[in-house]
Amino acid sequence: MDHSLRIEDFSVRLRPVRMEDAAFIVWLRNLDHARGRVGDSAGDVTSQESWLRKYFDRAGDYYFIIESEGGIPVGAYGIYDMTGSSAESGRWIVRADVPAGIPSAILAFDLAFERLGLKELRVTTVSTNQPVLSLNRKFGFRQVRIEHAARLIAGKPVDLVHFLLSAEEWGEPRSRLLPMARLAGAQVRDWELAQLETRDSLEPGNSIN
Amino acid sequence: MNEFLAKVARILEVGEVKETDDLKAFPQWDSLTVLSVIAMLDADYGINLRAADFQQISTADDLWKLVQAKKAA
Repeated sequence: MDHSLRIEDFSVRLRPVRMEDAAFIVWLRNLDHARGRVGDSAGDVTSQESWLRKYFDRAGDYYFIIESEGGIPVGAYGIYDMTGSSAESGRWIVRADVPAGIPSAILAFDLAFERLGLKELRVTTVSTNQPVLSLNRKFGFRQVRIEHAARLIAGKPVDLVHFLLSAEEWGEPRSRLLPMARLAGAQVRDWELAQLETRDSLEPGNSIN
Repeated sequence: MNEFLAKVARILEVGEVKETDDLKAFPQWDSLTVLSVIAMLDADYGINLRAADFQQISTADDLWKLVQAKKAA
């Protein structure tokens, strides 16, 4: 869906995905901690661009790039498969070296419940993705169902674990997570500064010869 | 080090963490846990670690050695 939603806090921004993000998304989804743990993936930039063209025409699908304040992309996230006031929360991947996970999740859930007016978010996580299963619970998601051997990963059947979070349930975990989101935001800002310093030092005009 | 291990165990909400335990093998180990450990190290040991520092450690002993190295620096 070609949307224009943006939200920003804790030194992190969620902005609409663009066609030129295709290469970044392919790189991101092929990182070790993401491969085989997220759904409908494109293996190359051409396929990802084709997926994005269809996505832009699809209603009720909000795909975001997670980026630093200065616009360095660090992850992706999606709200999709909307059914009434319920939607799937997923396609969530963040670079392992940037602590933007907690800030981006708070922004995403605030956007879902406050801006989109959703009453419920659904999350489906493969049973082998322990860090995300753990995070789902800390974000307040209730485990509602396990779908046995629902997906094949590397030729082996894995279970899918289904979770739900209502708008009413989100307030308590949100308050509890805020201090950690602020700490993470400070770390994202430091990471971005280090990236910019490295980039500046590589500029030809800045080299010391 | 025992006190340090006890603090990590409290964050992980487990009874005990041993020096040789692979931290990433705990089902509760996630990005929020990493932030909680960073906050604890800052408050209790005056050490400022980055999330990226945790990519190079596996065991609780690795983390303790990293803390010691930062303190010595």
